[in-house]
Amino acid sequence: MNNRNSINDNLDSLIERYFEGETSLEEEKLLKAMVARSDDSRYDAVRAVLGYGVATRKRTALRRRRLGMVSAAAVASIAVVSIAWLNLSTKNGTGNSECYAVVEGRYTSDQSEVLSIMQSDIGDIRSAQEDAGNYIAEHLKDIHISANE
Amino acid sequence: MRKYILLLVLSLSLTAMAQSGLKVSKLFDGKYAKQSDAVVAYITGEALGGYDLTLYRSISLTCDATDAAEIEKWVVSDGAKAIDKETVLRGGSLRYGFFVLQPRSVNRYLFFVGKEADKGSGKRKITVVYIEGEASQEQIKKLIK
Repeated sequence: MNNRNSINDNLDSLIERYFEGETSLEEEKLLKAMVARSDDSRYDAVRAVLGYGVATRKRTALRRRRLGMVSAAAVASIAVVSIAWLNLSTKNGTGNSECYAVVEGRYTSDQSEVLSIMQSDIGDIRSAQEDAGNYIAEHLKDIHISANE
Repeated sequence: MRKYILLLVLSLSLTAMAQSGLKVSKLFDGKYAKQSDAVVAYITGEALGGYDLTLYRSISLTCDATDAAEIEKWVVSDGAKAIDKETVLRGGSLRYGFFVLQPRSVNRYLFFVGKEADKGSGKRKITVVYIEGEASQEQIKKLIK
């Protein structure tokens, strides 16, 4: 009986501090556990309040998590749309379209002149490829001849 | 929230970074592009529409053996992790290189051509071409043929 009174005194003290906003999270957990274990009907109101308090904290945490997820989704969507717009605009030429060359110090934005430079570059690449092909063919021929001697 | 803003900034800058990080970027924007005999071309957008390309950059110049070796080093370095390549070396120098670089939201290709400028001059005529776009390797090969 004395033990039971002592527990109730502790509980009452904890309840009083809870409603005065003086309890730590650990103490609140302890309070909840003690109230749940107690079969004293005078703690019914406290049980009801604690149950509501827990539900509110959970709802707030859930709201914060949802807000974080919505923010992340919004940022990701903006990133995807921006990248798609940047890619699309350069692909279709609806965005920034540039065409210029610097020829021995002289700047030109004449498209036909610039494209002519591009064709000349391609011509150089083609010649180099053909030379490479011929070079390889010659060497293979030499190998073939050597193998047959 | 700061994390998410950083993610957004990184995502946007990824698009601009397809060619940055390549050593040959220095070739198009650095001292070689300012050389008096250099021919530098830069094309994006409509002019490339028919080729399925979004970017074309090239530089042609004549240079001495030291500069040629530096340019070759950059090209070979960028091409080291290429998913496909064709190279021809002669006399210890790169004569021709075609590199299919790792795609970064776009397909990327790098060409190198190096030949003797004038016989006995010791100088080399170098052409480097960097291309980006949706074009496949087959389309690029057809473009060259």
